[in-house]
Amino acid sequence: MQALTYEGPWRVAVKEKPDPRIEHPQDGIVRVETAAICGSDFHIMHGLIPDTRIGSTFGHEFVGIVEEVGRGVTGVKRGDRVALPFQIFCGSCYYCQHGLTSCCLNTNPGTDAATGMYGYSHTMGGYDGGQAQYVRVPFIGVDAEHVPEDVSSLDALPITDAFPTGYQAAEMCNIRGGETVLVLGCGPVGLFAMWSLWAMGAGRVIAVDHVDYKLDFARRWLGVETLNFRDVDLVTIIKGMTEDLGADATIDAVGAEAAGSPTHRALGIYAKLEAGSPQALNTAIHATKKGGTLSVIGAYGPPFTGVDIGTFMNKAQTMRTGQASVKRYMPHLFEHIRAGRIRPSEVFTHRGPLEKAPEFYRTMARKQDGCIKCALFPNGPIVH
Amino acid sequence: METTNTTREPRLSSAEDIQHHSGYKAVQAPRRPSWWGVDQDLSRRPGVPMMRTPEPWPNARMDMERMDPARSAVFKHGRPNREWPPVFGTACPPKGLSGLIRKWAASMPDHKPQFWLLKLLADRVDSAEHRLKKLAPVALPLAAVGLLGSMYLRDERGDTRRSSTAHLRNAYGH
Repeated sequence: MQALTYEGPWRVAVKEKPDPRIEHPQDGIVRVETAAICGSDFHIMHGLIPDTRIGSTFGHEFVGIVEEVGRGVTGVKRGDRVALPFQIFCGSCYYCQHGLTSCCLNTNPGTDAATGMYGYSHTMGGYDGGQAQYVRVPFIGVDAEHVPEDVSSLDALPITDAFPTGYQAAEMCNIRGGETVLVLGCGPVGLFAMWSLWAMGAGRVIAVDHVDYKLDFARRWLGVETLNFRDVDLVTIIKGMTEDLGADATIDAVGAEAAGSPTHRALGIYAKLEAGSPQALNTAIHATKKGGTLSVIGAYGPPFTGVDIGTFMNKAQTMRTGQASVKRYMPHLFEHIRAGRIRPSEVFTHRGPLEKAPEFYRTMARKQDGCIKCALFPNGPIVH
Repeated sequence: METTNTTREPRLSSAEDIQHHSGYKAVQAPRRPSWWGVDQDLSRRPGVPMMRTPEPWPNARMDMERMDPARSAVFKHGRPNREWPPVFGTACPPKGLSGLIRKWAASMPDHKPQFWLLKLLADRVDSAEHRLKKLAPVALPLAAVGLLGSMYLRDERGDTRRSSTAHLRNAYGH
C-alpha cells in the first residue's frame, strides 16, 4: 500500500509499505477514505516527540470503511463506515470505565504518560497512522463510531480529533454563561474551541494568533473578536478590555511550537534543551485573571518545559488539561452536525490525494495559501 | 474549587472597540450565533463530570487475549512493576545503533529524564543512519573509485608520494 512515511526531521515522503495485518483478535483493518493532517503532526515531524522512528507513518485523524475484523470483534462488520478516535483504548480498564479513554492503560508499553495513539511515534505505542491506504485498528469494536448516513466523511473527519479536542478545551473552562474567554491559536482546534465556547454560552470569545488570514477565518466563520499579538502587547490589551482583571479563562490551543519568544524557540524547538516553547502557556498565565482557569489543550512533549509556575501560583489560577477522550464526545458532536449548527468540513481549505501530502505539509507548516487544515484521500475520491 | 464564574455581564465588542483596542480596522463586528448557549446546561456536556460512574464501554471485553511481546521487537519502559499491556504497536522495529540506544533507554523508568533524553538522542542517530544509508549507493562507489585510483597511481616501488611533475622534469633534463 501507499503510505506517508517519516524520512527525518522536516521530511516526509509517500512510499510503498506492506499492508497492515490483524495482530490481535480484537483488531480490525480499515481502508482509509479520508485522513487529515493535524497541527500536532508537525511536533513529531520536527523531532520534538521522542522515539519518532524513520519509516513510521503519521496520521491520527481518519475515517474509513472496515475491510477486515479479528475473530474477537463485535459491534462492527466489513463494509461499515466508521470514524476512529485518535487514541486507541480498550474500553475496560480503570480509566476507560471512568470515561477517560485518553488515559487507557492497555495500549502503550512505552510510557505511562500517554495512551496509544495512531501515527504519533513509539512514545504513543508505536502504531502506524492513517495517512495511508490501510490502517490496523486495535479494539475496533469498542473504538469505532459509526458515521450517520446523513453526515459526510469530510464532516465526520474533524470529529476524530480536532472537534472533540476543542469541545473538551471549552468544557474545561467551566463555562456557566457570560464569561470572557481568550483562545490562543486559530488553528482547527482553536476554531472548534471557539465554536464550543459559543455553544456553552460564553459572553465574549477573543481569538489570538499572529497569522492574519487565520484571524480573518475566525472572524468570518465564528464571529469572534480577534487580536494579532504581533501588532499589540497582548496582556496589556486584554487587561484593558476586561476592566484590568484579565480573561475569566484562557485556552492554550497552540502547544509546543508557539511563536512570540525567540529565546524559547531557540532553546526548545531548535536546540531541544526544553520540550518546545512554552510561550503560549506563559501568555495564558499572564492574560488570565487571578482565580481564573487555564485550559491547556495544545500538545507538549516530554521531558520538561520552562513554565512561569510562580505567577500561576501567585494568581491562584486553576489549570485543566489532557488529551481529549474523544469517544464520549462523538455522538453529541454528530448531533450538532445533523442539526445544522456546524459544518466541520469547512476547515479543510486544502484537499487532495495522498501523493500531495508532502506538499500539504510544507504549505501548512509555512502557513501559506490561506491553509487552515488539509484533507487527504488515500484511496481516491470519496462519494460520501 | 470552582474558580471560573462571573457576576458581570460582558458586552460584545463593537467594531470601534476593536479598532481602539488593537489599532486595526475591524472587518466586521463580532456576533453570537443563533444557537448560542445550546450546551449551557451542564447535563448536555459529555465530559461533565470528568470521571463518570465506571462501566465498560459497549463491545469491550474484560477477559481479553494478550499479544506476546516475545514475538516482536517492542520495548516496555523500565519501571520494575510495569506489566506488558495486552495490545501494542509493532511498526518500525528498532535497528542499528539507534535501536541499541532505544533499548538502553527502555531499561529506565519513564519518570526519569534520562529515559527521554536518550530517546531524543536515538532519534538523531536514526536520522543520521538513514541519511548515510541513502548516500551509500553514491558514496561507496565513489570511495571505491578513489581507492582504486590511488592504488593505480602508485609507482612500482610502492611509493605513494609521487610528484605529478618530477618524472617530466627528469625526462627533459630539468
